[in-house]
Amino acid sequence: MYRRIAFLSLLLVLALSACSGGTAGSSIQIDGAWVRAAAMLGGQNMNASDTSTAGGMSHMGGANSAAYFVISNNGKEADRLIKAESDVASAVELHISEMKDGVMSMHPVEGVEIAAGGQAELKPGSYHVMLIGIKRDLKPGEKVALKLHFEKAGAIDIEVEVREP
Amino acid sequence: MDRRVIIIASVVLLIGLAFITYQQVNAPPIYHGSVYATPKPAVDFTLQSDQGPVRLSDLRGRFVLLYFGYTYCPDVCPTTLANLKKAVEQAGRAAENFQVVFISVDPRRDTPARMGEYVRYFNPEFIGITGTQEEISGVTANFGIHYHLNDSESETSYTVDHTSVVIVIDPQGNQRLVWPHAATAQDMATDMKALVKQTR
Repeated sequence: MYRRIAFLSLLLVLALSACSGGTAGSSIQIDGAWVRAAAMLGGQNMNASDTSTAGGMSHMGGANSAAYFVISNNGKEADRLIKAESDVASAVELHISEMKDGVMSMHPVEGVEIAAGGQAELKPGSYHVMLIGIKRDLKPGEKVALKLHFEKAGAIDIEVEVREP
Repeated sequence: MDRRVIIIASVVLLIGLAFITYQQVNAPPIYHGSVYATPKPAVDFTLQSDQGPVRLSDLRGRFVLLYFGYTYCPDVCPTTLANLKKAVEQAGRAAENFQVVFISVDPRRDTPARMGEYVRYFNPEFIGITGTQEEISGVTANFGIHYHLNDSESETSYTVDHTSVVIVIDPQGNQRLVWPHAATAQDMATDMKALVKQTR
């Protein structure tokens, strides 16, 4: 009996800790965030820290990646993800991949709408945060800092784990 | 109950089970993609890898898993290549009979060196090839692959729309099966095993 109570309380604690996504006080919650592992391409000096990528990717070098997560809006009004920033890439844009007649196309979007009490999922083959011209290799297990800007909730900083592509 | 009745019933049951098993083993596999009703010979091509030229017909004797995309693709192409990497791992020994080939639809930016570096990031056995704009146009047309370079303010940071399917070419050089973008690694691994078994 005691064991069962202990087990249930453990479950409760786990559930509660899983819920607190570090965005306390905000109506916006980010869950399941990950960045696709990627390697810098086209450089013999792949280990050298390259500061010349600031203006975007050069003709030969550079590689792109993407970040994904689920946004929950616990507020009473709809909100919108309007911008994302990160130090790991020369540019960060909100994009969507869409399938039309078997052809995949990708284009920038103005924002990602999250209905009041609703969710928006950024996932492969759909909405994603595009990391253009990554400045270093993104290795599985590493963390990447992302700053997300919402129309109403303002800026939210998150740490995102790099996972296998 | 009469012992003879039990024996007869058991024999009937066993024969029935054997028959069902036989039928299941011999039924043609159900693939997770579009199967060509009649195998279509794949038009041969030669494109460049960083290890030298690669001719499709030189890969005969193994299955070729052909995928078209580009290395600056952040979302769709790495998803498919990662699925192919996982499928190869999950297919176990059957995977020895498969060669993954990634062809660029963005030859302006994708050099052979860049393609090689990109595919080996997923699996050192994968081949990445590219060519001139004319060569790529020819190859994509032969395989029914559409692509379109989108306009951008920048010469170097545009996106490319493209058909996202994996074409399975059999060891005789015929197109056999096309996996849609939605096919999972598990779907592909299951089909890879079935293809090898069916070919044996």
